Amino acid sequence: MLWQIAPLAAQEDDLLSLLDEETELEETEYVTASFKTNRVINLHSLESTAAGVFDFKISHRFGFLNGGLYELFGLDNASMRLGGDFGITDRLTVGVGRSTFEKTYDGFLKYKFLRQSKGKVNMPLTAAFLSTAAIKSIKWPNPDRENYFSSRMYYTFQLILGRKFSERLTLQVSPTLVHRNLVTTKLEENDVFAAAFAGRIKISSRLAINAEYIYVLPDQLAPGFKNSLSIGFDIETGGHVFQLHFTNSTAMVEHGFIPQTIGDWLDGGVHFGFNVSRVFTVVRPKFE
Amino acid sequence: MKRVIVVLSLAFALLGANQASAQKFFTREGKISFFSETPVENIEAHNQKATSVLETSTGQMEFAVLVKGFQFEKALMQEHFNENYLESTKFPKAIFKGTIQEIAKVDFEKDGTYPVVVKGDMTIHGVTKPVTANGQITVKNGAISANSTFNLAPEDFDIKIPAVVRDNIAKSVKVVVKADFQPYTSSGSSKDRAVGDRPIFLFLKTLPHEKPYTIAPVFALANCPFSGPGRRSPFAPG
Repeated sequence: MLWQIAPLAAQEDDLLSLLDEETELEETEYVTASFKTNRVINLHSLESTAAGVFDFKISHRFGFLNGGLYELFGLDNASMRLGGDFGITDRLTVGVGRSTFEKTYDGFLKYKFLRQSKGKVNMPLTAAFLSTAAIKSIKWPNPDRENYFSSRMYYTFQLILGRKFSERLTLQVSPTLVHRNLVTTKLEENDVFAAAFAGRIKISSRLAINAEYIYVLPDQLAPGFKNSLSIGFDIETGGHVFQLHFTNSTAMVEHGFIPQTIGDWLDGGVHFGFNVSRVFTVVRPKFE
Repeated sequence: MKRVIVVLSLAFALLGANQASAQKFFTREGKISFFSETPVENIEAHNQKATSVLETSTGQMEFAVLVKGFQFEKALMQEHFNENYLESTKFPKAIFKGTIQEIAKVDFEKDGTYPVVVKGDMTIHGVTKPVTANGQITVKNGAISANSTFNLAPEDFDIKIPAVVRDNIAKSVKVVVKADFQPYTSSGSSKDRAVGDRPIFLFLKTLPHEKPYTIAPVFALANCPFSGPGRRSPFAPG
């Protein structure tokens, strides 16, 4: 009978104190806004596109900075990707894109199966699974040879594990497998394993610094390929997110920037680039 | 037969107790909406989970709502609302504590609609301001509901709106509140008693709340249907 007495004593001064603690126990509060958008720089972030929202992506990487003044520090050349992501549910995102890099078409599915939360359900991290497929449509350099269509296909599987540690800091790690049906030389593996690390530090409500590093496990690539390292800013202005960054990767699709990065940071082999994300609410949620 | 009588008399006893102490009313499903209308765009947001308590003898009234619980038409708007304007991580709740003026004029025993004036303090975004609002108390078949519409200025609550979107957000935002109350009974005798009134929850309340993060719930949940000998996790190999 003790439980009857305790709340009675408490209800004298503060009416709501009766309900306060119970409410906290009953609600599960999901952590939101771990990243400004669903990409860190090249990598997928742990964020999904909200249900019913279309996110139009325009990404550019200019040429290498070490092209010097003659190439206007890379601005004479550009590699780009045009894409669109759509949130089918708050957990499931699909997307497609087309890159200038090897005239590649790509598509992805991303499902968030754990959501960081507190309250009734205490979940320490967010976890998502990403699966991408890409088709290289560039003409074969050697058309006389027998070229198979399957040789144009690339697949990436990634587990994204991340946590928003504080309002400022979010970190994530993504074990990754890139599968290539065809590789250039025998020195290279068809299956490339990598660990991708990414994080962001929020400076103000509209500005954040992002960084990512992709460690490709040794003895899988031919000499000359580098690990991808990128650092940049997220700038948010209303419906747009502008991501400005420096990266040694040229491609913006997984099988490009993970095993095929050639730029060397120490040598000025760095691209200036940007991603622009513009969201459109296609399906509006219904209210009573 | 004996059992039926016991049950019945118990039920009546509880009912009687219920009525005698039915001066406090509460809800966890109060509806709070707000509307910002400008020539540029209209913004609205809805929250169906406001908690409210009403003490009918004194007219004391309190509302509390989780800022994160407001649903917007556009997900990005909702994110901006929480991240940039209301800073809901820093200030998770909006709270109103006030008193219905001249509560004696409201006859809670008699069906009818009673216009009332509520005065009190509104706390939003960590800023507390006095607020006076007109509203109505409706009594119908013993059930009490309340509604009110009033205006608030974001500026009063130190909510900073950058110049670029100054024209998109109204200087005065219309707030609509609706609550259907039910009697609050601490013994939980009411049929509609809330989950939180169950003894187990009241017991849980006595436990420390700041639990460290643990992955246990998932595994516990996942284990549930399979909890055979050894309680093997489905994630375990083999």
